[in-house]
Amino acid sequence: MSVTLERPEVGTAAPDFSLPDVYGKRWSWREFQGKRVLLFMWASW
Amino acid sequence: MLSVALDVGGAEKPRGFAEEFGVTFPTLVDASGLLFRLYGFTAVPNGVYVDEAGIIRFQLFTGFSIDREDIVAQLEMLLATPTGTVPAAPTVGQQPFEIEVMLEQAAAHRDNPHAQLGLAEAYLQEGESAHAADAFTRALDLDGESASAAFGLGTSLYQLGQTTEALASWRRALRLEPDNFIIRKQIWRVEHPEKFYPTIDYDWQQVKLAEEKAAEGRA
Repeated sequence: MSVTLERPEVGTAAPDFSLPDVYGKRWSWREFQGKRVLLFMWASW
Repeated sequence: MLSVALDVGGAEKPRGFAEEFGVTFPTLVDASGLLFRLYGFTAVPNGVYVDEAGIIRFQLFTGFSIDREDIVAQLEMLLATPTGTVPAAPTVGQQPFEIEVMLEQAAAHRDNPHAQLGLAEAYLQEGESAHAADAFTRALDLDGESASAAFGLGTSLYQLGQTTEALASWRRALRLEPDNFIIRKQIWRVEHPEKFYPTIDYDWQQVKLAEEKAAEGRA
């Protein structure tokens, strides 16, 4: 059985998350509130 | 600009890329695949543009590139649009990780696979691979259909050096989500490292994908 993933739609709020950066410093999505953000998701492979 | 690398191997490789290109924006590492659960994508590269009110104004999954003129034009148009006084919407999704909070939630909701998954992801991001593996296992016991739990368990085991078990768990995740190209590529990266370093062999990937899809179609 395949799991259906729910994708947030254009016009809705971006989901909140928190992740460490490449140096171990933790960032929260909330820190970018009030700014325009281009979120780029990639992989080194 | 915020860059997130979906790399189960940890920060080392993406850090190399970020330093090589001298980027001026934060480069985050998502070892547990949190973002592909939150955003529901199955491959990279992806781009999401969010305005100052926290609202998604543009998103493109798979094939996002700033070398594509149509994408750049669309983003420029959005950037030129004054946003005025749109009230900030309440954010949804995952709350900021704190292991203590996640531990409390996981203890209070022992039968809730999401609580166990949240704790597991927090452990994985803190580099606590053994604790992460335990919590992912609990999540998977509670919800055997969770590709996120199976993928996370595989990543934890990989970080613990248990490569055979890691591959088995990633394969379980792929069976649950056969269209997830990220899971598939992680398996390839470990099984065929020569196809990824020093350069990535995209032609090989196309052939391999066709072979595997054909085999899965017959199964």
